[in-house]
Amino acid sequence: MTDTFDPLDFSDLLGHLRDETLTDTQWAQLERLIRTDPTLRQRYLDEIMLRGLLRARFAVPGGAAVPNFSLPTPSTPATPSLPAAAPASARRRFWQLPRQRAAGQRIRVWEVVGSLAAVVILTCLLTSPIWLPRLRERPPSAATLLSASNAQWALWGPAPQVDALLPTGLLNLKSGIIDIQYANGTDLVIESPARFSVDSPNSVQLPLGKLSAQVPHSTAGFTVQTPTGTIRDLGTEFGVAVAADQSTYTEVFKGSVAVSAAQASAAPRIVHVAEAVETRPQTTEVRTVALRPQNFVRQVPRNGAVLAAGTPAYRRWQAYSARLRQDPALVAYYTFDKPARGRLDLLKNQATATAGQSDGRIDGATWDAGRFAGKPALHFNGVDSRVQVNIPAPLTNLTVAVWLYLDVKDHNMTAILNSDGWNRYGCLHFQFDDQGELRCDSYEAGDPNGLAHPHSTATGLPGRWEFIACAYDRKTGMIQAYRDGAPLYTEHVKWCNPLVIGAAEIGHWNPKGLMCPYPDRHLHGRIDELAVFSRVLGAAEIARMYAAGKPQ
Amino acid sequence: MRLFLSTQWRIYGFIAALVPTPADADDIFQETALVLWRRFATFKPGTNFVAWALQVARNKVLTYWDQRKTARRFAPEGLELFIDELAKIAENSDMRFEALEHCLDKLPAKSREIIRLRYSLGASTQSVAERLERTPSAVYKALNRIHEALRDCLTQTLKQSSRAGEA
Repeated sequence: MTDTFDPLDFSDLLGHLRDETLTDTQWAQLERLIRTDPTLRQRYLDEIMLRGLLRARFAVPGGAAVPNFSLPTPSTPATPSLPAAAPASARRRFWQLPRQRAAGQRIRVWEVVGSLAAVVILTCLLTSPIWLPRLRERPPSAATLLSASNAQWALWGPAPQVDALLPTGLLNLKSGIIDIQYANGTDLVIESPARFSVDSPNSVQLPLGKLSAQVPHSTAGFTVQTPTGTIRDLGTEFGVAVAADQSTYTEVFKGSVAVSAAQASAAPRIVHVAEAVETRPQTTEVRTVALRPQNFVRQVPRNGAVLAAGTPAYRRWQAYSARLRQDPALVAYYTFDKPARGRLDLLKNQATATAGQSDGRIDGATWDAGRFAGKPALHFNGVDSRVQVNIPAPLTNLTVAVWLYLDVKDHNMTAILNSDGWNRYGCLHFQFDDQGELRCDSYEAGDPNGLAHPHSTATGLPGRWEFIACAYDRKTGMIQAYRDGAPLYTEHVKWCNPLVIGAAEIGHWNPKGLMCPYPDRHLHGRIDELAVFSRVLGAAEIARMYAAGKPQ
Repeated sequence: MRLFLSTQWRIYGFIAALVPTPADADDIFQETALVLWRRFATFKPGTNFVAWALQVARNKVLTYWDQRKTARRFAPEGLELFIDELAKIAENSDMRFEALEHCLDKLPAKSREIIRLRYSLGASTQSVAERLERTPSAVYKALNRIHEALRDCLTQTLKQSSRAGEA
């Protein structure tokens, strides 16, 4: 049978094999041919070896294996030593050997050694770590690696260094987050796993992964190319996520972008703030999609070296936090740790006493940098972001404490943790007013306006991390507010009903149909820790909590 | 570590030749590397590290195919036979990567671009066609031709190299 088999047909089978489009019938045919025909078998072997070579040459192989191999382990026996690397004159391409033989004595040495040992030595020379970077030598790109958080690269050559230009060509970020900046000021935060290349001064290719881009207004036309689309900046801030199936999700945070499908001839689609579109393989459509909780990281702290180990302040807080979550009076504790897998919209309640209850659902808020290098926070965009929670237990006493960073104060009221509605006894509104004044409000019998007590203009100022707490003591009828661990004001009230936070939102308020002059209370800023206790924390405890959690 | 670094190209190339997608190759490569690391104490200095590493990779590939419930695979004995043949090639393929660089240099610029898009970006034939504004059929045929040219070039280059070594 193989005697009459058309070689072109066999090439076609290999082509389908390469494209993973072999039918079962073709697969059976291929298998039979390479079993029975030594020539075709050799062609098949050459083809799949070529595939392996090309993948190794272009698609950087993955795995944290190489970094793992660099870890020292005292129990590991000494690695057999390799011969010293040959000088550059000896490390030249082997097909040049005949011409070089006359010129180079060192080459002659290798050539006259015909033993297996010589083959091994030559092998080591040609593939040694010193040789490999030369094979993979790439010119520098137009982008500098500004910072890296726990970044691991799958590269044959040396890993990119912070404050150095990235190389051109495909880069494979296996884990961590990096921040790169182009010479024109465009800033990209790229999250692993990602494959990308910076081959021009005003664009990036992103075959896989997520990035958020901040493009200066003075720089027009920055472009993200993905397998299924092109996203062109129109003076903006946006996020792009390319999935394994090559579909591309684009979301605009500020300004607008122009999005084209890869094969479309139509005019690009203009996408505005708080809109999202998707392009998919084998379609020319730019499809409007609902905003998804993609959790784009939009900022990476600059000191990557510190991030890897965690700052002393971060470690101090982690130790404190681990003890705090054991407190039996802790009814909800959100440390804003980004989920590594599973439900990315989950904000887990870390309180041991109520584990599995009161988990939050992230809606629109995105992951961002927290108050410590390497610690995440949720960024609320001031438009449509929130975390929905439910803390159902009736509380005789209550303390709420939060670490937050306000970007701006652009609403009449800004919610931190607000119960839904405002017509239920005992519900809570922990918020700022438009003057930056902290309000520890609770709806109470006989007071249809609740208990609103603005007493200080020193809180809620944008541009810094603040620690804010309110302690509600129903026994003494006192509310004590704190800022950065110090008492802020005291208010005496008369309570008749227990406090019940119930269904509530972090960073937003759901009026539940209530007519209200200030229904829009979106937080524009970040929160990276929020604790709710069923007891009154005293001034000393609040001070300790602040001291343990302050950023510096 | 130096032993591993000096052979990782061949180990990865061997794995990538035997599984359908680069992602599969990445996973198996990582698993292989971890096994090599954990079992390095059992490796005898002075013996053939490449053969040892390829044996580990071979077992990982076989496990992969065992777990892959699909008709599109070789029968076990056939697969093992191929893997062993390929392992022999990989074990002695120290010059193939250099030969590949040489052969890629010889390709016309358009062909190099097609190969770069196909393997650098992991793009499908369809995606490459969209990028180049050509029909998928044209790109498919072009890839067939380029692969054939590269295979021939590799064979010739390795033969020349062999002759040069004997001279």
